[in-house]
Amino acid sequence: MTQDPSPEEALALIKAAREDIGRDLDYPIGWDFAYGAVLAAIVASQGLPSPWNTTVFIFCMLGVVLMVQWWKKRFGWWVNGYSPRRAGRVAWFLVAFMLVMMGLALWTRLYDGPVWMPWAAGVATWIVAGLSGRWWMQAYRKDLTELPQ
Amino acid sequence: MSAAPVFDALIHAPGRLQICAILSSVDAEFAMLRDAIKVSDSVMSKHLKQLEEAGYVKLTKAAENGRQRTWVSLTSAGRKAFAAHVAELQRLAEMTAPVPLGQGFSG
Repeated sequence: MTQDPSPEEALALIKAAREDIGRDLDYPIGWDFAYGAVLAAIVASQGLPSPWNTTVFIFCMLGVVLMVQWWKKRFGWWVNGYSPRRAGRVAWFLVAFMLVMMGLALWTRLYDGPVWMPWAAGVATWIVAGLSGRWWMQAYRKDLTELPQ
Repeated sequence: MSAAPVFDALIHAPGRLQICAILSSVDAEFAMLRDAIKVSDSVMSKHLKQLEEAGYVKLTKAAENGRQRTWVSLTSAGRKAFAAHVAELQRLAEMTAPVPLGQGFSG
C-alpha cells in the first residue's frame, strides 16, 4: 500500500479495518447472563422497600463497573458511545423496555400492586436484556460494514 | 448528519487511517491496535504521537497487574476530522467514478 492511497483505496482500507474489528468483537455467552442479571436486579429492586431498593441499585452499579473492567482487561477494546444507526435503535429499545419494567415494579411498592410483579419484571428484563446484548452486537457489526458519518 | 468534506493529510497515511477507522468504532488498548494493523510497537507509537499532537486521540495509561497499559480513544476533534476526511474521500471517489452506461452524454 502506498503512503498516499487513492480515495478508493483509502475508503477500502477504512471499510476493511472496521469490518475486521466487527469480526473480532466476540464474547462469551456468560456475559449475556451476567449483564441481564444485573439489569434484572436493578428492575426488580424497585419493588423493594427503602433502603433496600437503593442498596441493591448501588451494588448493581458497582457490579456494572467491575464487569466493564473485566471486559476491558480481557478483550482490550470497549465500544465507545452509541451508534446512531441500527445498534442505537436496539439500545433505545432496551432503555424503553427497562423503564416500563421498572414502572411495573414500582407499582407494587407505591400502589400495592401484585407481590409477584417485581419478580416477573426482573425475569422478563433478564431474558430481554440478555437477548438484546446479542441483538445489539449483531446490529453494531452491520453498522461497522458502513463508513462512519 | 454527514460532516462537511475536508481532506486531512495527517489522517490520510494508511496506518493512521486504519487507526482512526478502528477508533471510530471502539476504544482500544495499544496492543490490540498494533496487532490489528500489523505494525511494530515503535511504528504504532509514532502514529499515535502524531495523532495525539494534532489533538485527534487521547492516550490513557492504566496500571494492571503491575503492567502499564495504554488505552487509545478518538477525541471529539479527532472524530470530526475523521468524519470530514471520509466525506472528502467519498466526494473524490464519486468524482472519479465511471458514469454508468445510459446516464452519460447523449445527443
